[in-house]
Amino acid sequence: MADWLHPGVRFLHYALLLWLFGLTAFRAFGLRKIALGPGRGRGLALIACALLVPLVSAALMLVSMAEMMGQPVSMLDWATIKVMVLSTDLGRAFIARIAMLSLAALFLVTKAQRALPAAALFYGLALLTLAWNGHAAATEGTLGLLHRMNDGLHLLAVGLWIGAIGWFLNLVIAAHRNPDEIAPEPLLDTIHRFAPLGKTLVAVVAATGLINAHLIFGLGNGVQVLTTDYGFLLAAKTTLFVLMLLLAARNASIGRQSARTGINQTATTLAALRASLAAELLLAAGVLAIVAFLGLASPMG
Amino acid sequence: MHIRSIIAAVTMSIATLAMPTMVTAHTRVTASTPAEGAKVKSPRVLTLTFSEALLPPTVKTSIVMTAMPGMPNHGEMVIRNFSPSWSNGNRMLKLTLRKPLQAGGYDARWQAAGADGHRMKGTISFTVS
Repeated sequence: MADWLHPGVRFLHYALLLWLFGLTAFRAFGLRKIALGPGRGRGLALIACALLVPLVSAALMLVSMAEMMGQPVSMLDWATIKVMVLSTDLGRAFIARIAMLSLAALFLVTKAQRALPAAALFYGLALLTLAWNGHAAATEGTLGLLHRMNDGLHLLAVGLWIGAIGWFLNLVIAAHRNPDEIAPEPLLDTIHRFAPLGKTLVAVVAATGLINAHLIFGLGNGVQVLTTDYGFLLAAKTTLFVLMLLLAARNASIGRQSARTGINQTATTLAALRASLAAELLLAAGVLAIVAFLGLASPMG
Repeated sequence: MHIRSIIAAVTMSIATLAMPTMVTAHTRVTASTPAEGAKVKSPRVLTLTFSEALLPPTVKTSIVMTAMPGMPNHGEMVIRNFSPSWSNGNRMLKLTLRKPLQAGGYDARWQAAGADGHRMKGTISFTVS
């Protein structure tokens, strides 16, 4: 199997799932007060991603199973897939996730009533099942359950954070290009009001990340872990996370200034926010790329 | 950052350090009979105890005779007459041979994925006298 295939599919899976959860949750519960233009929020890109993600999840299942069996994906037979799905928690988690992702897509495609909250719920549940397919799955007993719940909370908070960045960036670009379609003032006001929730999300991400690290390798072993590939990747991930925090603080500061100065500086404010949010989203993609490799590495060498 | 946030972060960090940890490494053998490098007499049962519960469908094991007394150029010979069984929550693998192993050098080779999905492999080498 090509070395890039497994981490590549993992990256795509994480990126799509976190973005879809964050976007639908944020759109359904957080941004109702902003007047959106027709078609915004349930566009073709969202539908395309919603249809793509169950397929990516199924591909990840097959690639993971092939790697676990030590054979190429093309050699994987139905009997092996069946026994893995029926007899392991990991296999059952894959199937549950694909089912949730398919249900979410169904709600979004059919534009059913309350489609966005329903999709957000199913994407959230799908994110929780990821804890059964990684390092958290290896912890046993009550501590294992705690580890998986903590990992799930970490993913939900990350999803909301990425969803907020992505959606604000989308709206800021649209408001900058066409202020008639999206009024900049309520958008800037919403970004300003997002700050406390943003801080809470960051705190949850940091705290659950810390607990995850402790449950995986023990924080007391941190120096020893840093000498491994896993430790190097974790240090890189933490560095990008800190840079994201700095940009988030910059966004909040721009929002605060905008609230203070009023509408006179709207164009400058939107341009500054656009650059800052785009950089933050790029760093988030970097974090996910690292996580795609990190989950496949051993913390103790 | 407010003082309350700092206190909360510090409390959280201290509480985290107080939690127990499993120290997860990928799957490895923690004990075996015969042990690595051991010299034993005609065993009929080999056991491998792993550091974590394994996913039985992913496990592949082989017993290979690597040396035979009086035959310096002995190649590898795969021993096939054994059956595997699991115990201790898929942590212990028992390989029961139909006939005891004859004198020679042997490898018990394994490949398996743990609950975290990572595939690992290893070898236990021993000698039968």
